[in-house]
Amino acid sequence: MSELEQMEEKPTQRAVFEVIRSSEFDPEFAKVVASSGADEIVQCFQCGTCTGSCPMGRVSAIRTRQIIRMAVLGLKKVLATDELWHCTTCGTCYDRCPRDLKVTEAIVVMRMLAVREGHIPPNLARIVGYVYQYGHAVPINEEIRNLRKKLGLSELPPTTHSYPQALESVQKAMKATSIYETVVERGKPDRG
Amino acid sequence: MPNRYPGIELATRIVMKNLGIELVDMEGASCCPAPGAFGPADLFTWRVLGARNLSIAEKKGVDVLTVCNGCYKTLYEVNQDLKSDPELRERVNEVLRPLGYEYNGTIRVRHIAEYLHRDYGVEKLRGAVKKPLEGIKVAVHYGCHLMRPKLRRELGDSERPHLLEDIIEATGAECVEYKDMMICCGAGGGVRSYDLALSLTLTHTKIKNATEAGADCMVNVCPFCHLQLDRGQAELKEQWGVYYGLPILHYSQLLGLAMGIPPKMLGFEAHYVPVDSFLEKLKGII
Repeated sequence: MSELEQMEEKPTQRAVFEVIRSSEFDPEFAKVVASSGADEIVQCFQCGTCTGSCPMGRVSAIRTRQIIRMAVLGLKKVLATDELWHCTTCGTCYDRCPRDLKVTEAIVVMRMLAVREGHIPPNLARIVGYVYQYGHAVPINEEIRNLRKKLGLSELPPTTHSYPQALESVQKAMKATSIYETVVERGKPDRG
Repeated sequence: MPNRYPGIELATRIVMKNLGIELVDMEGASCCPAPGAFGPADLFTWRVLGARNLSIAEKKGVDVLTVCNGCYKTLYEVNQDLKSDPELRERVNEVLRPLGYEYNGTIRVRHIAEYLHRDYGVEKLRGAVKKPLEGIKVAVHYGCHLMRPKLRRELGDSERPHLLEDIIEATGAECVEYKDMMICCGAGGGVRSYDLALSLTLTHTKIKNATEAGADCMVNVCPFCHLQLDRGQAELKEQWGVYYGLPILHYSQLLGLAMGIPPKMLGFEAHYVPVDSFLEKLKGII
């Protein structure tokens, strides 16, 4: 048995040798990624500094280098992966990339493309819904209202919470872009 | 910040007044909006809402000051993007103008930490401290978006910075080194709401390492990190059965204590981890 066959015998090694067929490459997807603000990632030479630097990579299956490679090859299935949402956008990979590629920003772009494909995590829909409804991703609650009063602050902060017209402008702005339709409306059943 | 830790807001207002810096409210401002938790929904809308907030400050003719890394990232980077890309600015303004707002690129976005360090000055800050917090050991938590990405900031090295150490040591406290000091609190990028258990693994690493290094508290400059590090300890207790009880303070609160502001004005009752033991240590000082 050859060394390769022996390695393939071990189930833990099998995933490493996942076969990717060129028929899976979607050049259109690669172009969309590039035109959405991640054009430079084609320069990635797969050194792996990103994966090695990723704090979340220690505890999650997120492999930044792999995400970037999948995007460059046009493997659209990257948009359906759970790991795409494990990045905390800490920016360590971006800061350490020897080619100064905007790695973190590329991941955020891919998340946006995932949303457009309908992969909308419930938490994202909820947060966007809150911003639409209140102007805040974290709206006030009764307990904090009371604490604000106790501290001598205004019961409501001088934000959209206090200015209904300002909130209306936020809502109109969100309706003027695609976000209302793609996320607020579609995400509604998941909002809790 | 105003909707979860109003004590940070009050501390900031008092501290800045004491330093002779006038703060002006941005009436009608919305969420920045959050870079990681909101941004991926649609980056263009993220910029539109960010620009709307910036235009409120522009109208008043003042720079924006944030006490939060997330707000800093959004507002700083949107400002940078729109200043450098007239076409994008026009597209954003096409949405804003009918609503009575316009972004013109006339102001700067500042974070309280870098403002105090670079403009106000560390020496002057030390001079404003009435009750030096001598003997207090602080674990520094930079969070991510103050220093990173370094190519989009002007704050220098993000691997071993000393910006926060400088302004913390100006209070008389001592900063302790701990393992993995520069890693994320775990909350960013929407991970806290996407997968709480996963986000808490990083929180645990930080809190454990800081505790083992002998820190009396951990100081941050971001209410979202603050939430993760503070409430996260309650969640770790509930879900993992581990509890460290390491008090978490925003820099404004630490500076407030060093300026002699009574603790009851710093909103500690909103904290999940009680700060009583920490205040006990300060007994002879404040």
